[in-house]
Amino acid sequence: MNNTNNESHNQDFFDQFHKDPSPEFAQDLLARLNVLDAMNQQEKAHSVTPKNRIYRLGQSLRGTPAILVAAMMALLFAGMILVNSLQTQNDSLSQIEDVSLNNLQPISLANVSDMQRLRQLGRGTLYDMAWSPDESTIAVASGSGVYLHSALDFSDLGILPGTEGESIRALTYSNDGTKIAASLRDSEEIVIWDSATLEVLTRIILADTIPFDLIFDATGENLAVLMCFRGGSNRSGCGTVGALFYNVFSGELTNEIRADIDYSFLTSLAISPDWSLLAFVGGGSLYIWDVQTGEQIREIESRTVSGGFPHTVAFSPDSTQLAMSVSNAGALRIFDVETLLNVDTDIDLMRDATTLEVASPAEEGIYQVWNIHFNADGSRVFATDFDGGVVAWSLPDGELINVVQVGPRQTPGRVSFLTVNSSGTEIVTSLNGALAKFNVDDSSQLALLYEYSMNTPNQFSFSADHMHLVTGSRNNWLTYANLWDLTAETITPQRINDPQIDPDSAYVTLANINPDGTEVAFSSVSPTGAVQFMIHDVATGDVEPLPDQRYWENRSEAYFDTNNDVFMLTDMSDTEIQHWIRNEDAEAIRESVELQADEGNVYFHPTLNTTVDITNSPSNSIRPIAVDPSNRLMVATVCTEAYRSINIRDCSATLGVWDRATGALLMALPDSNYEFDLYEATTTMSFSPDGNTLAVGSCLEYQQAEDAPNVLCQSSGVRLWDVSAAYAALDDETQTDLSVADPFVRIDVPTPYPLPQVAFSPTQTDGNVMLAVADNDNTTFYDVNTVTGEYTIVNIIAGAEYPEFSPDGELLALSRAGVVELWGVPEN
Amino acid sequence: MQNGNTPEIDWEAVYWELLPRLFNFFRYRTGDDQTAQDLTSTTMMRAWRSRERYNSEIGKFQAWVFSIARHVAVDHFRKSRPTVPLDAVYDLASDFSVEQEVQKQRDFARLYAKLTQLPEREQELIALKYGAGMTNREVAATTGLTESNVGTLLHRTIKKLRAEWELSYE
Repeated sequence: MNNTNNESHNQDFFDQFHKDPSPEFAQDLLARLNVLDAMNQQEKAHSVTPKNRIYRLGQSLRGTPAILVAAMMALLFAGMILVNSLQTQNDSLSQIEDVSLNNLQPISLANVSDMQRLRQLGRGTLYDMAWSPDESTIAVASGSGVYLHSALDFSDLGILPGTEGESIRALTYSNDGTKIAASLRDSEEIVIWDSATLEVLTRIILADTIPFDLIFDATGENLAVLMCFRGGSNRSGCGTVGALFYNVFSGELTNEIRADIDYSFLTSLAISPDWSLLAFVGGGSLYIWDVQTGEQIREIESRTVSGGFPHTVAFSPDSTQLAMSVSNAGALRIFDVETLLNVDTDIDLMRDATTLEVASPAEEGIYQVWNIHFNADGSRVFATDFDGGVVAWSLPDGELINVVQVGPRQTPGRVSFLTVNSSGTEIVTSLNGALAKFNVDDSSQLALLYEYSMNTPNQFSFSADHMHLVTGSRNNWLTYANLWDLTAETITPQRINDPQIDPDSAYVTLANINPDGTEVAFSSVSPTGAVQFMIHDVATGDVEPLPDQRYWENRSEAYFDTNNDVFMLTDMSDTEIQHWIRNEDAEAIRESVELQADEGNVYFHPTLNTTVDITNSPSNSIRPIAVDPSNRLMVATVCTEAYRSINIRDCSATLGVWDRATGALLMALPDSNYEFDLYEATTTMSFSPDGNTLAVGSCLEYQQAEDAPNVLCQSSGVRLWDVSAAYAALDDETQTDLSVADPFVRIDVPTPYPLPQVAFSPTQTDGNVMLAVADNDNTTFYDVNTVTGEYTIVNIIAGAEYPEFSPDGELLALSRAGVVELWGVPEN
Repeated sequence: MQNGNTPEIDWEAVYWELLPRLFNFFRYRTGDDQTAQDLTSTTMMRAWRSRERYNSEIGKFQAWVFSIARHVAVDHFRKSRPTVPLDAVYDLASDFSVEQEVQKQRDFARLYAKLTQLPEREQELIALKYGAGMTNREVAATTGLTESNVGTLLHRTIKKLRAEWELSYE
């Protein structure tokens, strides 16, 4: 059979499997694209950054099945009927700061389309930073722009124009400091500015690439972009690595190197300052490429050259030496480049290298080195260890100068970014989002800024008057939570549980502020795993540990009810709900409540058709919880049976509605809910203002993982239950009903991860409630009729996640790219 | 924006041409229609807003769309690791409820089960070639492989795949 026949035969074979997308899906998607077009046109007309756009769909769509909304919108937009109602916000930072948080309307179905972004808290996730060659400025690339700070005290110098709201992944100065270049993720371009006038010199459009680093050549006339070309066959997302070379003034591509090798586990790449060599570390080997010829000239297996796993590479300023960190050996090895390229055997290379000990390999937990920096003349070299330290050596003698301990050892986090002044006497570091400057020789701290973050906050807790806000993480352990005083003219966060201040506090779990805005309850986990419940006094900053509370558990959560009483849950332990109230002497008194089932710890679950023991699981856990507005009900996910492995901490869980006062089970929602990783995939819950409707965001369908003994989420969504029967059961124990109805609303979200976050607006309009649902990309607002179950989309805020309304309903907190946004409807 | 010398591109026609190719690319990559729809949506939404960059180069636009699609697939696998074991695929296939589709779905599930046993690169080549309907040259341009390499890899892979397919029907 010849090739043509073969091709045809193969095509026929595969044609039988071809399937067209459903017409409904095709039309729906086209409608969405048309909406997108209309939005883009509006944005161009109003010169608003795409990150800040808001969709206003108006009340005209109410009462329409959600699935038809997109198609309807397309038709409307096509006719330009709704162009005027599709408004966008001109919400540049200068305008945002002018809006008062004092005179706001409650956000309701009637005005949800009038919401504006009022404030931005923080500067976003920190991705890169650079010290200007004249040493006056620290430029920071974050999830919300390029911020310039005085290198002296980190005071504000401004935002690079055109980067507001953009996620910036890399930046650099030219050697003479006259230019600054940054990589903008969303618009997939590199922008080069004149650093004196801040005028844009060049824009270079990239597509299908992920820039790691930007480096000017010695003349400042050319820029190298070190990158990962997307779409490899491995799952790291990096197919091939390489570099693109551009003329700074024309933006013309002058050279391109694609290392057409599957660099699995790429950890570092670097270009020599003379632009002659590219070095990659990946898959346990070091690869060196000739920039001029575009050819690979060395591949060196790690075990022969390093005695450990190579992790990070950097060239010395004169390009004659290559420093490579060796993770398992806890060392930095410095090779002579000439030798590296010419010696025949790798063993000789190992022998000839200068080895600088980052830490004793015997010292637990200190293995990986993520950053290597030389100072301008190469007389000093710096490396970050994995335990909050920066190590400095002098060269060429390799003498240890100092270890600057940026964060306490044995606590989570590492120095993720490092920049060095030209003399090598000062460093600026980033650890857990805190920007700090140190004197290298005596470790003294010279400046500190808490405005950046290490990830996106996804848990918010407002005081009742919405003037205090605590932000933290619901899914991931963080080292700290932030407390924001929104009455202050200049809003800077106060850190709750900062291990950089208190080395005994390694992590903080869920932190919540009381309705009065006077106390924050949280649990602090020490480096050895002991949990201590704490109360942080907002006015004084003092921290009070609750008495007799020290658990050796993995997780605990603390909440306040509307009476300012604190109650707490310990996870992985038992079914106790601790309830703390203050007596007349302001002492915290503990009153415990045990969660109960109808027969001790056991009840029969009607839908699962099995007996559920709420205490029998080896990884028994109760989380997360929500309390109804009247403080009478509590809903919790109870892990009823761990399976496969307690290390992975999967469990089969069930949702229950409990009497907060007695711990009695009132309703078992007819649902078996797997939580495949309790830390990463917690459901979120919210009660409607009247308490009768419960919204739960969770995974809806699961499948067994092939390569791990756990289940994975296939699809996610939000379900709404009518829980009014629980109130009847509260009043009359005989009415306890474990067989409540199915959820009356199910709203699917586009992607299974992260699980949807839900929040009801505290403002209810007749029988209709407003529900905010955040998926991976947007926060969507629904008008839900609690009688008929019909729902419609009434607003979408693009690119923002994790909604939470303040208790008075006047503020909405969202987050994106490490920034917290406050939205509301100003009076008039 | 259009310039004076460039013919107006009918983007809606481009959409209807691309949609089934994208959808089938993702079906071959994930084995699941619903996931394929989701990933198709994600890809289209990302590509659509920047399509004007390719006003004069519709071919490049399509190549770019599939570059995005490859990345979306990688992202999907990284986030969800939705690798379905062979047995599970058969279970899924037996659960399909639309009567007239059952055999077709079962066949596709069988094919997908066999595809998942191939190396990742070969899975992707099959998806690009037969899901997205690309020529070997287009596959080469998208993956960075040489055209002859694509042809060789596909030839070997399909030969093996078809042998196993026919064997499993005996």
